[in-house]
Amino acid sequence: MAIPKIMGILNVTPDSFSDGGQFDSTASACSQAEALVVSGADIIDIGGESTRPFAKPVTVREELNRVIPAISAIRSAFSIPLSIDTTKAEVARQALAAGANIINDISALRKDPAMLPLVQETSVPVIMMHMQGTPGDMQVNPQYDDVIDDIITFFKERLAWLQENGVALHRITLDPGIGFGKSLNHNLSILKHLAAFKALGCPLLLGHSRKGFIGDITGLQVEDRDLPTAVVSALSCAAKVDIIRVHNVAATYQALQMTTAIQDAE
Amino acid sequence: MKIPANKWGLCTDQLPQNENETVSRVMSCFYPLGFTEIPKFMKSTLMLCC
Repeated sequence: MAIPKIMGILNVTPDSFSDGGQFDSTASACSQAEALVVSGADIIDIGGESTRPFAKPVTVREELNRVIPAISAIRSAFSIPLSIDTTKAEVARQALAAGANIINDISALRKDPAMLPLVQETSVPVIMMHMQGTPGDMQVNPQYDDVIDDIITFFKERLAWLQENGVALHRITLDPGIGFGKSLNHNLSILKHLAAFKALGCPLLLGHSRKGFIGDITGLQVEDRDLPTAVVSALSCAAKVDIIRVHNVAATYQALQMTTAIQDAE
Repeated sequence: MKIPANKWGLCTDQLPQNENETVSRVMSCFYPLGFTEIPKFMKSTLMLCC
């Protein structure tokens, strides 16, 4: 079976939960992009606004100042697909012009009304994530009737809305949004039932890297969570996840190589 | 570093002999992830390869 594509995370922010402040200059962003590519990344996901719990929003201008120089520099140096991690249409538009190839919107096109027209006028892939609440309040007692059913219902509604607005569903990748308005048990249920999301017929992205639920279980600090992150990546192969979004690409690539080799054995 | 990943169908020692086959192989890698065409950056790489 094919190894899932690995999306390497590159946050050009001062305050992301794991790598905030490390790559907020163009030179350091380029250097990290090279490290991700060498480690086996298939896609680099570039974000200029932290989405960690209780993060404060940034202006369009500030986000543009962070991501556009990085995207331009990385595009000129590397032949690798780049995704822009943003909820703002203007940021996405300028990122695509600078060389990005995928829109990754954690609000599933709900935050900025101008995102739909941008998606309609372009032909790039779009990643839509499920999130209950906003980064500012999402982890304050999240509630679901049934977390799997509720997320599937959300995705069905979003896909129907896109279809009504003339967007080909073939372009859409779904992300159940680990850690975005979910308790520990919600996150574990999502991971156990990933195959249910695949039944919607779209590619599936999993973004679990170094997140809080791993710390809840293992007691590990953010910088020490790459091993359990790789274990989750390996287990997700069974559900045929298409894209795995991680900080430590090398560890994930090794985990996926082993998992797919075992799955391909007679 | 213009061809970083053979996972996108551009393993340089296994390239097909003609452009159509090469384009087809690369598109078969991109299409399942929602791409409707080969990204521009890859087109220039393809031209170099063919």
